[in-house]
Amino acid sequence: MDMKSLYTANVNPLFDKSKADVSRWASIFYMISANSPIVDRCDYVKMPYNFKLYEPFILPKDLTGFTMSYEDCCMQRTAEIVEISRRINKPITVFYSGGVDSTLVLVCLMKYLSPEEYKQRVLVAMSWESIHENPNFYYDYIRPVGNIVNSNDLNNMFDGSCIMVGGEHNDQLFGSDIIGSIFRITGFDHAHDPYTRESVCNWLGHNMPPDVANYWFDLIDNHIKTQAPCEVTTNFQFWWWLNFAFKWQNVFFRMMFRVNESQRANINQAFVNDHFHHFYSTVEFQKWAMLNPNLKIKNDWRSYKWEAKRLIYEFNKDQFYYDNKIKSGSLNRIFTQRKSPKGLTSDYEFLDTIDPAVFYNPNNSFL
Amino acid sequence: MRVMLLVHVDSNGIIAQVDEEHRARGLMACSLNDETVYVDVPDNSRYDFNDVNQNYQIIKNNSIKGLPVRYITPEWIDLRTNTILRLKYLKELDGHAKSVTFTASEYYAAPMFHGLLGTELMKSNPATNTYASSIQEWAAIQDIPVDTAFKELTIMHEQATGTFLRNHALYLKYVRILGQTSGEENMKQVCENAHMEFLKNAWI
Repeated sequence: MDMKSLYTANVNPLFDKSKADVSRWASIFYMISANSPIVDRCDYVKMPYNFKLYEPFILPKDLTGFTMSYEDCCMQRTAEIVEISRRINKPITVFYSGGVDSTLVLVCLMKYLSPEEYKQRVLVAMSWESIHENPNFYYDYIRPVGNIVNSNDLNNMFDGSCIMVGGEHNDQLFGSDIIGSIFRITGFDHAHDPYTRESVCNWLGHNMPPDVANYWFDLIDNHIKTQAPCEVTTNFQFWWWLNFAFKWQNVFFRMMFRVNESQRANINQAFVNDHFHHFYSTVEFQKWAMLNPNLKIKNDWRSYKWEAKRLIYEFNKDQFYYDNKIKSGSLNRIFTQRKSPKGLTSDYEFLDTIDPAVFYNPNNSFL
Repeated sequence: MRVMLLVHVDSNGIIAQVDEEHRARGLMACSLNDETVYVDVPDNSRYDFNDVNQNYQIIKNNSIKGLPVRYITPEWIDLRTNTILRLKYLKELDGHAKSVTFTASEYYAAPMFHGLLGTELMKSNPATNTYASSIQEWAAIQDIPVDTAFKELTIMHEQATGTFLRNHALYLKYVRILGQTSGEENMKQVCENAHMEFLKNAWI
């Protein structure tokens, strides 16, 4: 019989400190949130709990002949999403925070659709924070259309009435929040220097004992050397790879994870295929991310995601936003004070409690 | 200087000085036999009503004298110790709660505004293209169609009320738990649990 496995979880209930392997694995969650379990998309690092790799997220390794630009990927993805909307005849609800990722999603839809079809087909799920985050875009492009709904209703939108589109995975394409945290403290001078045991362990050591930091460094360094089909050599790229290869799966599921209890039963693979999408998830975007390290950031944190910001600028000519917008997480505002389960199994069962023994994997990489 | 004191109704002994009315209410919710009293004390007074070693009593005309020794029992000291500690952790709880309601305070009179806004939204019905005159005026000033104004104000209202209600429910929950908790370590743990529910569970 197959063992039960998880797509995502809050890992707090899994912290069994009496097990050395679990303890070693758990130490990474002093650096990243306990709501962000890591799953290796190369299936090389085996976790001490059974997290199943969601099949569409197997890391694409054949980069031969790939020449698409980021803009090409955006427009291809827009066409895909619109095609689903037309096929199943349901509107597209875009989760809009005002940040770079979701602003670009709206830009793509506005460019691809006629104004009439955009108004008829697209709903913008937003909050007042979304206006604060990008006021010009709201007042110049969203408000005149008036197709807005409350994003705080996120957990009630899994009723099959619309296609939900989030701006997730762009962070995983471009870099990582962790990079922002690191360079705010250490400065940006060494971001593009080759990563070393010392440079990585200096940061890991803020969150875990030196021996465990070294263990994690060896694990990820080895992963890069054996699994990465692209250049991963700098400090910036090291942390990007951790995000890209290990956090991708949880990022996909974290909105769905917080669905209202009454709508959990709606969620299965068929529902996900038609109704739940993140814009930046495609294989093409991933290949672009692996082949274009030079288009992700320049020489300061402000320039992070500059290729995405450039496409927004080409559309609205908002120089101030292009020059000054700095990445900030916004999803946690929607999640604040909302009840969430502890786990989501790979057969879409929502678990309000987790028994670690049920999911423990003795054949793991942390022994 | 006028100060707010929490006073035991039996002995009129001063349990603690409280700086905010809602915190006094929170402390009173934890105990059956106390009330708040406002007292004028000189600015240079040496009273420290939150020092468990200084015990006072309110007497006639709201003046203050030492608490008779017969009232200074281990139970009394225990009551004061836990109340003073609870006050410290109520302040921490306030910090968690306020950091969330901050995002729903778009306007300086936000709580009053949202009460009024709810009433005006209920007078409107987009299905029949009927809107309260106040919402029509708001739309005209903002220079947008009234249906867009209605949607925008609805989002603002739903988010603010949702935020305040969730926050209020959590606040009451943890005030009650704190009221049933004794000892610094236990109260610290309660506040850590509260921090988790108020904010940390949403961290990604």
